[in-house]
Amino acid sequence: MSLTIKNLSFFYEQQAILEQLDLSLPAASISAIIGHSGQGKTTLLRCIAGLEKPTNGTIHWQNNLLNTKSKCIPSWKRNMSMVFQDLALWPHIKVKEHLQLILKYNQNREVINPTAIDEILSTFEIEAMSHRYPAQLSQGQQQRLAIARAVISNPALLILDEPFSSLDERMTFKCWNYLLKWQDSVQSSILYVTHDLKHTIEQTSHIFNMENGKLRQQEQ
Amino acid sequence: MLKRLLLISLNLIILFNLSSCDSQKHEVIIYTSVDRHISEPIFKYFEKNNHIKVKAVYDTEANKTTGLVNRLIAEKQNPRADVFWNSEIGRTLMLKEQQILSAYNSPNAILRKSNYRDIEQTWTGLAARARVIIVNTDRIQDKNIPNNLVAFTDPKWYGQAAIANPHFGTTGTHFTALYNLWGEKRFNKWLIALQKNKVTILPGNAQVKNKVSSGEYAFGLTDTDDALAAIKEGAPVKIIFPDQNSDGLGTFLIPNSVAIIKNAPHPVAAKQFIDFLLAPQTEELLASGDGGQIPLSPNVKGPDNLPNTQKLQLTQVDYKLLAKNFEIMLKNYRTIWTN
Amino acid sequence: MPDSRQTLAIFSILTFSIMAILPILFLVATVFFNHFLAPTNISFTELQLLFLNSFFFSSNVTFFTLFLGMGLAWIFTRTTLRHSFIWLGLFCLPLFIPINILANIWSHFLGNHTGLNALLLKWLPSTEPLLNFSPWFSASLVQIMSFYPISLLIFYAAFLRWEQHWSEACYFSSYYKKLHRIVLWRYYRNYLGISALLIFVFSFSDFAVADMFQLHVYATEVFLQLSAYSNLSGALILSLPIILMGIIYLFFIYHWLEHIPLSNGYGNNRQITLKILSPVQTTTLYLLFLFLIGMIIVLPISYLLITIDSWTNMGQLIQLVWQDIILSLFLSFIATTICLLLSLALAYSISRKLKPMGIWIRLFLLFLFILPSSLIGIAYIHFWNQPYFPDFIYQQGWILPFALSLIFLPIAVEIFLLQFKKLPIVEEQAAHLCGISFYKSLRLAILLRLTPVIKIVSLICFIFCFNELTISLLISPPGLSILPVRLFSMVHYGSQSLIASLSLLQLLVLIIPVFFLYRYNLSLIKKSQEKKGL
Repeated sequence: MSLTIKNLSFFYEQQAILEQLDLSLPAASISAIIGHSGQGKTTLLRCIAGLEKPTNGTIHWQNNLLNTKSKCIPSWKRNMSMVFQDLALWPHIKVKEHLQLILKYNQNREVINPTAIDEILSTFEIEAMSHRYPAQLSQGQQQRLAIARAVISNPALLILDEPFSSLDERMTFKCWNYLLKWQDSVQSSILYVTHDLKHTIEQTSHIFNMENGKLRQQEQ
Repeated sequence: MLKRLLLISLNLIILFNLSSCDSQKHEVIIYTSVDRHISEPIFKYFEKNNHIKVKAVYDTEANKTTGLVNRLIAEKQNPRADVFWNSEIGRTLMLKEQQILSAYNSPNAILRKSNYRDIEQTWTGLAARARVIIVNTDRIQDKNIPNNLVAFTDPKWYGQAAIANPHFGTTGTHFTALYNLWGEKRFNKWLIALQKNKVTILPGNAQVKNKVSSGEYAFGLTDTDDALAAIKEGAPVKIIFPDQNSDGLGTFLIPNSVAIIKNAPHPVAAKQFIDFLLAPQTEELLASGDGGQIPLSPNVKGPDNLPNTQKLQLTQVDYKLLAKNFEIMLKNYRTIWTN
Repeated sequence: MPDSRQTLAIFSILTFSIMAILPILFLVATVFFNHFLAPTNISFTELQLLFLNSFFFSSNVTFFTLFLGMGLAWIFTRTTLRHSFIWLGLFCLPLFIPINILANIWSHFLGNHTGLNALLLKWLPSTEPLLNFSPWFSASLVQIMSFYPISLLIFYAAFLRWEQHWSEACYFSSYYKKLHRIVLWRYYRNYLGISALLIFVFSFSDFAVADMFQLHVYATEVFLQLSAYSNLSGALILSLPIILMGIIYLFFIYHWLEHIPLSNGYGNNRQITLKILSPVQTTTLYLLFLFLIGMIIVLPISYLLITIDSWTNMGQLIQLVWQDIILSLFLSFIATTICLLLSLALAYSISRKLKPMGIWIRLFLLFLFILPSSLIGIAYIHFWNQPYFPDFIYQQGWILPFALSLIFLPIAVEIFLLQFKKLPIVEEQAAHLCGISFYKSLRLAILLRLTPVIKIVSLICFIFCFNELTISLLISPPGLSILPVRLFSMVHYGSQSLIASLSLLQLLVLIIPVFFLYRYNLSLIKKSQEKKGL
């Protein structure tokens, strides 16, 4: 149960965003990608999540080849989930319904207890907002909702793009702890992009530095 | 800045009012449902000879020329119009019932037959239009031409004839006249026969004229002015004055009607205008115009584009009773037509 | 600052009361206390049947109108079709053709011996008309072709505001298609509801088309009460069920409108995945568009052009009516300005100051929207034609632009309310903190940001005012002649050629300024795209 990327390249309008990139993550690990903006971090995450089709290279996940020249396994068959940098909350759907919809339309819906919604809302301290729309939440609350939406389906790989950028220290700490507890219980992997490792470095097993579309593993 | 703007607008308003007060003495306000191209030259002629400015409000076909009647009723408490010059008579009678008209015995009114003026002198008839059959000559040969109202119920013409909606205008007045003349039983029988013969009801007389001109219908019932317009446009149509046999019903004439509004702001000018409109010369002018209006004053030359109307056999109706049965007529029409 | 806001709210409510609330309440009171008469010549059972029939008719029209508008909007925003903005402009042209003219043209085109049938009869050996179009079909067709730009524009805006990320967030669920469908439906249903409501009300209250094809509908009955029987109270009573229906709808419209600002995007610039059209699909689409444009635009306009016998008449006609044109333009301009100012002030006051009272104002606005315009005209006469008021108010026609502005006011207020909800109040507060006065900050933080919306609202309002006939006829001062009244009085006696010339003139007067505005906007879009490219 690991993620292996070999020789991955991605071109956008003939400009190389990712270039012959290799990455290997063991199962149930927590990894981080750091780097300045515009280096291709988000594109890499989108390629892994199946939102972009790589120009070259292969991605192996859970012993499956995710992409070939002709075929690309769609996101909904990859058993992953993602927190977008701009959150991508559905603006016309209420907080609680965000989670209910994900549960309803996920394969594992019988496995997960619906009370998990209330539990997760309370952990992320947004239960009082459950009947509000995303536009009626603060930036931090929106970010917590986005994380809650991604974890509620218990994906095998959770991809987070700058997950704590709008959270204060206390909330970052709380969310991170929740994610750790969740990761421990379901033995999933977490791959996240950040520019600030202050609160998360301790539990992160692998850290990669991204520069000009290439990855370099850093010593901890 | 704001104060200056306010001052300027105040001044403008005062100026506007002063100028309107001054001009008010020499003006007459006329509401008319007569087509503008017919009434406007008459107004200009009146202005030129009497030095009184005519301010007119015209009606439109889109409102079935009933907009001004509603306006007159709404303005009843504080009338703004001096004269109502109606292109037919039914609505004038309705206004009389609502006590919106004032009596005036014009010296020129006395010249015409008593049937064309009100005993209480609230209205006077003038320049009539005839209800005629307009026939498309491409579709009907001369020998077959329908020449009476019964032809509309003849199975030979199944689905080929058109009549305007009797809720409005001259068709409404015509149908009421027929109701009064025939009585309810015969009128209803005729209506049922019309429906059985698939006579089409169109929005107005203008549409009857247009659709007969274009050949969509073989013939229809309309007014002389519409039929004359079709001939002027070069459409292949012919005008038939219906029921001219000795035992026939006769052709129905619908006079224009003119009346002074009760508490009119310019009563003197209004009377002057009515005298002018009822004068034989004005009727002659109206007769010679495009509309071919048939004069009601004796010894006035009729329109050139119509046969001698003096010799026409006319439907004998009491015009004063036309308003009375309008709603009952419509009730019968609706019951028969919607079933 | 709060004082200025209060002043603006008081001013807008006072103006609205004087312009609309008082005249209409006065009319209702006069009618019900003085000469109350039940609707003439119609039984309750007939009325029920008529209502149901009209309901069915308008629902049918609404369905197909939505289908056409939505389909076109989807093609323009979700496919790789080129020049979609130009196609949009072309498909919006029916907005400028008064519905009466369109009905007139189509009644000729679908006639038994004219238009299409005449063509077929020329080619085929038959004497009987080959195609027989029922009034129901013809009236539906004309209404659909007049109203679809409303749904097209609403859905165009809705499709443009959808962001790719909202779809992507659905991708991680196993039943992604179902989830995506439900998320899309929850978003579009608000737009669907609003356009359905608008089109339904337009269709239900339209008299012109039904009358042209002699289709007896509820709106015709309201007109009959007023025009055939001069029964004002009958007309008012018959308007009650429509108003009741409006109030039921009001609940929904609030629900939908409240949701739209909440579904405002984050301004994400990720491109929506467009459906790539194959050459065959593109050709099919072009053919379909040519057919639709041919039917909806080219046919009516070419009918006008063919019917005009001689172009020298056109010159004479312009000479005859140029004063009417200028007057109509001037009146519409004033009415549009009044409508714009009042709707902005009202919408601002409702959204920022008058929270509990706002709902009553909106309720009254809906009432105004549903009320037949002839009743608004009569209400104005009853209220403003008083002996103790100065003459200039009614007799000189100063109230005419105010009455005209009421036609579009309800829609304008709702549009601006929607916009104000999207503008955060902090933007105004930031301006206040910088020491900018209340009215200047309104200009800076609100008007400037709303410029595109203001432009569109003014344009549509202008068209509505310019084509308005009933109110103009009822309260225009004696001696004043405006273009629509002239046009519709000519419909009676004028030759087909003359009517066609005048209709074309009316179209041109509207389309020429709009065309320049459109080109100006197009150049602005191009400029901004060039800037982005740099």
